[in-house]
Amino acid sequence: MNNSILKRAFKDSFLKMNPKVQLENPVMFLVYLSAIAVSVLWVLSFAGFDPQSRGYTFTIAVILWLTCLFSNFAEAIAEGRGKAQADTLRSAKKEIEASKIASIETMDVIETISSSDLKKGDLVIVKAGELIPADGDVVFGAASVDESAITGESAPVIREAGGDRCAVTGGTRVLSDQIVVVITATAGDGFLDRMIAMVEGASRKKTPNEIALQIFLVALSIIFILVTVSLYFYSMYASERIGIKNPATLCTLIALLVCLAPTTIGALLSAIGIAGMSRLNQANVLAMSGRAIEASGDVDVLLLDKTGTITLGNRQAAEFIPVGQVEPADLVKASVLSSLADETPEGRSVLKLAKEKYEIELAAEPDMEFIPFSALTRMSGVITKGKAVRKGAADSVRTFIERENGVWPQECTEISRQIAQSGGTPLVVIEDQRVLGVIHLKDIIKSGVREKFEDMRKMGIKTIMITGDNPLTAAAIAAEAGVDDFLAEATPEGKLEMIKEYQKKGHLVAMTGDGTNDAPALAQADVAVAMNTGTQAAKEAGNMVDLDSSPTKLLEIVKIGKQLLMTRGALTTFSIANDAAKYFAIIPAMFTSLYPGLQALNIMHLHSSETAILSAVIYNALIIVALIPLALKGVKYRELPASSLLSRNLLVYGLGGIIAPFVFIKLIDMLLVMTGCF
Amino acid sequence: MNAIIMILLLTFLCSIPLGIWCKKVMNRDIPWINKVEDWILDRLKISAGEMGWKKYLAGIAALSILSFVVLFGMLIASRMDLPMAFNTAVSYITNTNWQSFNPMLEGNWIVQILGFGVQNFISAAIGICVLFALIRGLIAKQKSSLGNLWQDLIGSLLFILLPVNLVGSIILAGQGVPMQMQSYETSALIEPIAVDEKGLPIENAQVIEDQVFVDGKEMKEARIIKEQVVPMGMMASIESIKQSGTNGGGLSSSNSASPFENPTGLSNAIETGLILLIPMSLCFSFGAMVKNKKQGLAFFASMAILFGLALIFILQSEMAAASLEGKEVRIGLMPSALWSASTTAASSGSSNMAMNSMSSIASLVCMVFMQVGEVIFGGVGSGLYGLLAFVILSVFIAGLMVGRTPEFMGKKIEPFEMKWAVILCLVSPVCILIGSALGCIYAPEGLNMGAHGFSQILYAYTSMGSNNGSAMAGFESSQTLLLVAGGIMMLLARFIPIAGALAMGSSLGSKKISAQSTGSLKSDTPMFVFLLVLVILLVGALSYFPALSLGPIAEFFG
Repeated sequence: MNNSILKRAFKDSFLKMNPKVQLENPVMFLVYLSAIAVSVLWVLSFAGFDPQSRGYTFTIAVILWLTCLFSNFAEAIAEGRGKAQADTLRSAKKEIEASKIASIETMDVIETISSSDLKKGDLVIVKAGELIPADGDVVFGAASVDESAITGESAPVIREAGGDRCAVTGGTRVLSDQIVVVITATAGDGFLDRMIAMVEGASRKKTPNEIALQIFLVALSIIFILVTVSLYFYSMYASERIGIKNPATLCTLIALLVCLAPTTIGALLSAIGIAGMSRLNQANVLAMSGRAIEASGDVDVLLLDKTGTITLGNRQAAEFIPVGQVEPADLVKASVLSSLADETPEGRSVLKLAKEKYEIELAAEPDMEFIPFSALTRMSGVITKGKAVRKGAADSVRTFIERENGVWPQECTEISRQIAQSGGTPLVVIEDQRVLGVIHLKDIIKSGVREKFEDMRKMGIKTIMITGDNPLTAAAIAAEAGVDDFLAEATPEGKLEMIKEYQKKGHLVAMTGDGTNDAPALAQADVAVAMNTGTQAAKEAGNMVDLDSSPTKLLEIVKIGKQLLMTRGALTTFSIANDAAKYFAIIPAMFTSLYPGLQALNIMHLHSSETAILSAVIYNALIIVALIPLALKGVKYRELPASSLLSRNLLVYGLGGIIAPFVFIKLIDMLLVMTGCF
Repeated sequence: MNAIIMILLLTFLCSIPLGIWCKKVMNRDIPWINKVEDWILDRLKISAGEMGWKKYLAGIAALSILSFVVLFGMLIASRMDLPMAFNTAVSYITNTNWQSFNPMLEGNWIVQILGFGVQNFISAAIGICVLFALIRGLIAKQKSSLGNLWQDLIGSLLFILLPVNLVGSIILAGQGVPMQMQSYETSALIEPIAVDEKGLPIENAQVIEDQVFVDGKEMKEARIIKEQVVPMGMMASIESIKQSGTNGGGLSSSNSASPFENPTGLSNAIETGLILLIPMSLCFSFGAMVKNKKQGLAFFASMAILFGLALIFILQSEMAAASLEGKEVRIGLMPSALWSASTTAASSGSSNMAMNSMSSIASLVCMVFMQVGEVIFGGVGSGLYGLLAFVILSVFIAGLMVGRTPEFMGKKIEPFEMKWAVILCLVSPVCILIGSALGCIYAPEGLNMGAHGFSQILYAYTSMGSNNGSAMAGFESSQTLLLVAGGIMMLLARFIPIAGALAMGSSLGSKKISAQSTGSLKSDTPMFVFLLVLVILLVGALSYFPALSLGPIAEFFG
């Protein structure tokens, strides 16, 4: 929240005074009309209409205009962050020259055209240092691409023809090599354009939930219009019988109407929606509609990829298990030797475990000859002092030993089976043809996920682990991580079936995906987060794009969705609960001249009828400003069951909403008296 | 006090089995009843097919229009003037039974039975039908039809209302409520009285040998009355459905304060219980229909808490005032207070005392009962479907606060439902506020002075705008404005909510049921009951606080 955003918001709040803009928000439009009406009353006072209360009318008019401005400001400031982000994005979206080619074979014949003239299906060649002119898929070559303009991530990413990493986005820069791209989106319809529109909120449509809430607020406003209109006649009837002037003046009635109308939530409603979107953008997730954010609050089944979300990306050595009479120390030494040249995280973890647990640390020596891992043997190792030490997957080692006429101990099969059953991966270590033992590679569950899933369960959200592992391994990891269910040996069809199955039972399902083969499942899921690194097809099937391509993002998205809805509900409750105090301020102020006994309702002991009404109207305006930070940040989010969330929020925003205005209206009244004008 | 507790407890105990029975009838759980229903429909050549909400509503509209035409015709034929006949006919077809006419002077037993009596049954049955149509929507799995109106109507008439009232009227007749074919009996007065040309008794008049003297002067234009007309007719049968169908229109102008409509302590107890019986039992029918007894109990609890709180206020205020003005001494203060609470809570409108003589707080509470939209037990069926609209509003706000888009019983509340729920909740306040403002501009004659005069206007429009029918009598209620505007209000307040309930039911029915988890808002918990009670009070308080402060509150503080 910097100065330029504030400055722009300040300017925008005046620009939004345009009646067309105001009409979008019926509750605030009512305030807008009221402000006009009271201003007209003030002008009329110079023409002799009720001149003695000119100052009072003027003050009310000013406060009502301020109320409108505050509401505009809330919306403008919520839009501010998005607008700033959109400006940065726009700078990436320049008219550039594209090198169009007729076909891959005739790559040398280049036709230079403007990027805006590109059509779907055109082929362009992009060389190192050039900007990619429009969205497309790489059809030839591979290149490292700087996508920081979109993702904010400075590390370049690899984009290559074929496979799941072929999508490129217009406005990103090729850093090395050259690629041929087939254009998939015409100018103005690209990912960047959509992204700008989304962050700016230009294409923001009201979600069904917002519309429903607005219906409720409009209904309340209609009631309060009728309440104030009928009150004029009630008061007229009563005052005529007593023979005094009608105490319900137009100005006071309008003030009452504005106080009663749900202006607090009315003023902040769109700010809450925009801020929710903006929070999502800050988490580097791009929602294609506001509806998707709300749906993520409703999601109760999460399909989570095992790798990266539940487990650390890599397996780690957890245990050395010697076979037969082999000394444990020998096994550890052999394991370390075989892993010295192994740069994979698994290899590193073997060295780490040996050092930490057995204090065995060896260094590479010049006479060592390393055997690199090959896809054929699926083993790696080292030849040192005439001995070959190797490690590899159990079945490949077995094949190797049996070919070399070595002895494969039955015990080794047993150990490997047990490890696999517990969710781990066995690596068999051999010295020449002798089996030394097994390294237990374990999937390491990320710290805190178990607790996280526990919280999710409390909130009624099921977590389902998706993995390519076999069912045995998957079951073990699922049990350890505490997920509710798992899908082993997952295929895209399997995922799609699972989503449909859950939806049939009435669940809302969220998932992340990247590959083209994920597209059907993404299209079926209620909240579908496509990785930005993924294919164009996946991105189109999803309703959100995760620019970080982080598998844990789903949890954050659910949180943002829930928080958005909670904020909306909390402020609505607060706004309506406020009305009680306003009645107690205004009704006795209006009618003690009719029925002196009604002074008993003046429980706040407000100074005079004028200060009472002014205090209520001032409170009504200031509370909007006071709640802007809450609307932008969202109410505090806790992972609790619905029942505890409800009682908590009811207590804070319901009871708080009843009490707060009593306190503040009284305070404002005291301040008004202190000014000495009353 | 013990009597009050006994009446309420016994009604509650009877309402549970009755509720289960209503569910069985309306859910077509009983084969022989289905056979009877189907046989009747078959004879009448009416299709027993499922109906969408518009068709269901059209059926109700057609039936109600027919009812109106018949009743209006009967009233015109018995020489009622047009505005009065319009108001009266509307009042009976809308389950309001606002009676501006004097039931002792107008109509005969044919009108009573074939006009009023039939409407008492039909209007109550329609309420039950609409409620069950809505419930079917709540439990339907992606199906938008709501059942068959004619089947529902036969079921609720023949197998719910008829048996209840057969028992009710036999007991009441046993207690001495008249049941005969003659409309009137006459009997000699102990002492003749003098009346002026309008038929009102002249104060301080002395009747000496067919001559009337006031302060020693002879009044030539005065008439002397020696006989009284005692309304009779099929009173016991009318009395029972008047109470149990939350209708409220009696055969004597003093309603159940009359010793013929309400002769004994036992009859008073039974009549009080009958007001609340069916509205209470429908809560349990709801629980049985949705296969969640706790849900039915939760609705009952919300209503019972509000009723109990209000009753305490009324009792306390009436006991403190200890005024016997306008009360039937043989009935007593407390039973009168209980009756007044029940009749305004449950949209009946019958009375055993003069509401106009109530203490200011008691009248405030009675008005609030009606102003919250007759949802605290409320009218037969209409009370619960009104409450369900409030439930949807509560669920909407509370649902958001738990971080989900709102749903009720697994059905998402979206703009369509919200629109109809607010319309349903809004009709009554709109009618009451506009009506009472009109009433202030064109105040009828004979209102009391001071704040009470306004209370009388507010009460009248509140009663009609919420289909209650009780009145703070004492002013000129045959004013044309009151009759016509009141008639229109009664129509709106009755049929718009019916349309709303059916539209919501159909839309909810077509949705899929989302799975329930600890993350979903439960609507059958004490917490939700508390919330619902608050929302009802808040919506009531917010809409009527200014009006009430110029009426009963001003009366109270003076």
